[in-house]
Amino acid sequence: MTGKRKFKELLLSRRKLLAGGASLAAVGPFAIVPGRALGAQQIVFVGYGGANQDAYEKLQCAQFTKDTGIKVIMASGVDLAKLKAQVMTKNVEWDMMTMSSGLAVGAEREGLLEKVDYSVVKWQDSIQPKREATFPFYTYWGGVAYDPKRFTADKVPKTWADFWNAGKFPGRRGLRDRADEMLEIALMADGVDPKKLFPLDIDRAFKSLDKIKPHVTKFIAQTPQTISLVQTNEIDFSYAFAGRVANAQAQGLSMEFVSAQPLIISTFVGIPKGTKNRDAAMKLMSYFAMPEMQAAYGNALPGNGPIARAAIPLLSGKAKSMLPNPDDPQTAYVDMDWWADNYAEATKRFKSWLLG
Amino acid sequence: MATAALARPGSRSDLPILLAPVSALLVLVFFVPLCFVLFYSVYDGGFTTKAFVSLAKSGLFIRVLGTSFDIALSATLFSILLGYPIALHLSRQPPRRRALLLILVLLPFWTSILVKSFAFYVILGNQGIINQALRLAFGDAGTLKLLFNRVGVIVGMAHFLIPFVVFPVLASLLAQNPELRRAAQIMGAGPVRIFLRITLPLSMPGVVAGGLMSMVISLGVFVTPALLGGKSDIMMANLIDFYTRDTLDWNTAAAIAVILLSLSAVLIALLSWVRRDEGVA
Repeated sequence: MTGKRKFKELLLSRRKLLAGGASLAAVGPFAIVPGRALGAQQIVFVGYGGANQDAYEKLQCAQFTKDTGIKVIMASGVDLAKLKAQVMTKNVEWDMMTMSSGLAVGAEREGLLEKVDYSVVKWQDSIQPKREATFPFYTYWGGVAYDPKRFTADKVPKTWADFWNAGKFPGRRGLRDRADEMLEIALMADGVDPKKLFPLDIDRAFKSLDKIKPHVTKFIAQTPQTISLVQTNEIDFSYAFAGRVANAQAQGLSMEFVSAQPLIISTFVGIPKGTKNRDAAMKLMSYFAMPEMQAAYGNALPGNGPIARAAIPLLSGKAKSMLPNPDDPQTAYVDMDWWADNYAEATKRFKSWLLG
Repeated sequence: MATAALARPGSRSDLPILLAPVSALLVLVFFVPLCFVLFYSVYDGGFTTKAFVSLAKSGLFIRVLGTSFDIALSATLFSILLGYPIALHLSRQPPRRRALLLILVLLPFWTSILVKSFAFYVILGNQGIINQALRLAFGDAGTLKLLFNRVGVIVGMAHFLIPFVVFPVLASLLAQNPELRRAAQIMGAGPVRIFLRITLPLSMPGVVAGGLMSMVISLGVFVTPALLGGKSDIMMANLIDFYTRDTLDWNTAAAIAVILLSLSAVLIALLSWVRRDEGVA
């Protein structure tokens, strides 16, 4: 490409940026993504930051760069509104992004992602179903976090029915301030078979939530608070993720995790629609599908598990000991397709319920 | 002539030139996006008022609107109650000492709102300093619930609203002629009477200005209620965030933003009206 043409393109994209800038500004500040250097090819990956992003930067992304010579620029600040603004204004800055299941269904529904090319990305026998535009690459799971210095194991709720039983297991509870995951555990608490949760019986879930509401000290908005509030002795039993507890333990905090009915949730990667680096991004996605990469990721971050069944035997003893058995009758999965159709209504109802 | 304009500081002829850069910036980064927000509030694949209609019928929206005003109003009143004595004290200090103390008033601006909210756990929490002291004095019965309820929200918000009250109140206190107080004293009025009949009424424009500013600011707050508040402390900004980022329903998000903006605009109109009054006095 000649310098002149490049310059013209730059001008054009500037103009597009101005046109779209307003709608971007309407949803928040611009995402700060390092600019593309001319010459060597590179792609921009946006994640949630923190220990998880450090791990896949060192594993999947580093291996990809080693094999292909394509640099991966890491950015953080995944945001569905920013993705929509980029796709709408055809000024796509991100080539690949990680997404929670809630974001993944939103991005799929709005058609903001490229379809996964399964001739490049190898699908393996997995504990999660295959999807058209997003790829699940690791799981994490919810249970109860508590401080073993304050409670012996027999005083800690293990099933969700225990968690709901404030008489038998006295203690201040912490739940999340959102419908997803809360409706599932409310139904399990009410005796619904963990393998038959979906389609969720919303009315029954809210009736069950009514029972626990008086015993909840805080409906937590920020995930780090699920640990910090137990640590500072503001709550006793917190709905938390295994990986977060493992991380707290690694920092020397007195924290334990128990879950007789683990609720398994996945994290996804996807490729924004209209990226100029679709092929390179698809190639990078194939590294996230490799069982050995998923196992290395699970070993680096105990409390996070692989999707591919072939990765499970490759896990270290510690990682395996923290992994729930996916086929156990008490293990529940979040069904993304149900949430895709019901997320907005269920969440509005949940917020109204909180106010009531 | 330029030199003549510069010579007269009160002149307005150079005003457009001085204001041009900031106006251009505001048009670009504030007014244009605002037009988009207005546009999106009535456009969803075609012009429609459905977002406003469904919001008017939404129990959730109306309750959150009520909560937002409730929280904003209580936080403002609390800030005025705490901020006024500070301003009064500052107004009686020699200028050099006052400047030093004003830096202390501005201290809350030096740390991020997130860090401050976490610091409040240490003070207000169940295991916080206040409750530990109370338990030491009164035993287990002495525990107060100061966190994850409205108390926590109001304390957290007052912490950053107080400077917005102190400055306008201080300005109107300093603008008062000290001879008035002396005259009242000579006529036999005691300190309480002087305060109630002279100082307080003359400082009202400052109180109203500071109060309205706090109201407008607190209507848009949502981090503090989310971190320090209880389950029912949901603000309008939380709803906008939900519609913008979770459901990508920008039509409804924009409609809420327009409603919040209109309400804030009414408050700002009141503010400028009070300010004009202040100028006359």
